[in-house]
Amino acid sequence: MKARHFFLASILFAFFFLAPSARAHEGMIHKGYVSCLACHTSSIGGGHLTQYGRGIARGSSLRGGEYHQGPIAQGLSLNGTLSHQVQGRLAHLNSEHEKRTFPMQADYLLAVQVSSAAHLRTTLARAPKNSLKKDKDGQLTEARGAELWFVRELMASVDFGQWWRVELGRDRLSLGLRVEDHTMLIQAANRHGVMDFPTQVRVIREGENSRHFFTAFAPAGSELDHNRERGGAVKSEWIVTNEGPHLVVGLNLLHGQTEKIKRSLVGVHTKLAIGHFAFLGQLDLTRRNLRGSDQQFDQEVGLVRLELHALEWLVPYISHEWLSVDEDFTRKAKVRAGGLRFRLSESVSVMADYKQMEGQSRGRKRKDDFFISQLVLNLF
Amino acid sequence: MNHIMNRTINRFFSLCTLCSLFFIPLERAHSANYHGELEYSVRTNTRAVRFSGKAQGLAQAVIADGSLSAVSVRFAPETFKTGLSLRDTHLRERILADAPALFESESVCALEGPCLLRGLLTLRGQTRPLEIQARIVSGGESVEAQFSLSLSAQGLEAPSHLGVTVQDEIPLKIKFRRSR
Repeated sequence: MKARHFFLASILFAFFFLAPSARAHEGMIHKGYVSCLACHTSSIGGGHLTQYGRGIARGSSLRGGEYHQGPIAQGLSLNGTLSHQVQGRLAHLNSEHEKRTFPMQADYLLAVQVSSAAHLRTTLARAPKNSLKKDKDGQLTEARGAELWFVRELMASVDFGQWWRVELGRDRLSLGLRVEDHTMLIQAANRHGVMDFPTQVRVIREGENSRHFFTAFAPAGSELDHNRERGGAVKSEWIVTNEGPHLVVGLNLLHGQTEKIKRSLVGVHTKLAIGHFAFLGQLDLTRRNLRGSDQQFDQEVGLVRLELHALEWLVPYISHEWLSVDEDFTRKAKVRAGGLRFRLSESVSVMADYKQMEGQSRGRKRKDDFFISQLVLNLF
Repeated sequence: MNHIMNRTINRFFSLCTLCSLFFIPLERAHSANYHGELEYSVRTNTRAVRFSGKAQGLAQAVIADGSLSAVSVRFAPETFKTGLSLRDTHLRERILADAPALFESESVCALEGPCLLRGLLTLRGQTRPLEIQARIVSGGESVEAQFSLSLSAQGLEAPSHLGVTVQDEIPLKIKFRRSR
């Protein structure tokens, strides 16, 4: 028993002192970060952290202080050419219907610096078995490959001059706010599920006061059949002010089509930081048409979220999400949530969320409350 | 009665003369205290990454005969804030070396309108000449300036942290109001 405790304590110790955290957070605007590029290798944020990002993760944690790359990590990096990261999430869910603790995510992230202007990055992910769902015929209803290791991201990235970057590969779509929770309505209702990583060509312009993402995308092969979509998307953000209050406004456009449905999306989002507060908001309007018929239905989905950044390592928030779909697919939903993000060190953080969901679909009402806490560990 | 009146009038004028000797010159040249804010916006070598921050400062000047002179400004290192404590620490330790930023000028300016303040800036204990194009508003009630500071001209190396390096030119905005 003692040996087991020692083993667990050693693992926790290793995570605590060795690993950087990779929580992408739009609330970083509060600290003046209007672009993801300082802390992440990816222009759309999240995932692999740069050395600077690790420094910020450490500096804004309860542990504080300076980040220094350890000798083993330095050796594995082959003089800075490779950058490795392992991340994992352990979740505990408590709702009326179920109570369970489960491994939510396990990823290996690798970035390869090919030259000063080009790099490759990939995220190899392992989906937990207990998240798999089967229909009555025993067929997986999750996307193909979900039961295995799968590639969450595989992108080749080349910088052209100071402002332009071209990326090719497989990644999530860049649209709206980058939030870490794929169950949020702005993600789920816009078909950005955990397995939606389309093949894409992305052209990015990161200017002084604006950033633009132009994406052409096609199915990657792992999506469910009805989610195999091809099309184009544009995300633009303008930095209105980054001195004193920080304000960014964004515009999102998407047109895509699957075998059965065409959809067009117009959306706006904003990020605002004043004093100790950060406000995030997004509103997307989507029109879907059934191909081969004149039937169409409209959808509105939105999010407002308020975060308190009085402490750098502990960020409580409240949020409100709403969804409304009209015509034949009449559906309404509201989600009120509150929670906190607690960063213990660059390698350990805790997320706790309480969500109250109210929904109505074709006349049937549904109400659900749940509490989910997640322990996020990163190993470098 | 006339004698008493004359003596009272004489004493009054003597008192006025005394007042004029002591108080009127003081009214003409006096030290004015100011409090204000410095805003800085820093670009880096990383695309679209900029930091901004503020510092609180105190200033003094001499106002005499419709002019403002002997300007002295002080920003204590602990007042420099950027929104992230790690950056504040780096700024305080690596740029300011935990010493106050001081500016002193002997330029004489009118109490209204533009004014070129020629003086000496002390950062990290190193003193270098600096010219600031300022604007004096409302008869010396407030002083505003907008200018760029070159770190290399001040003998400072651009600070760098894990690959992100601050650019040499730092745009600054200063606004001071007279304290009451």
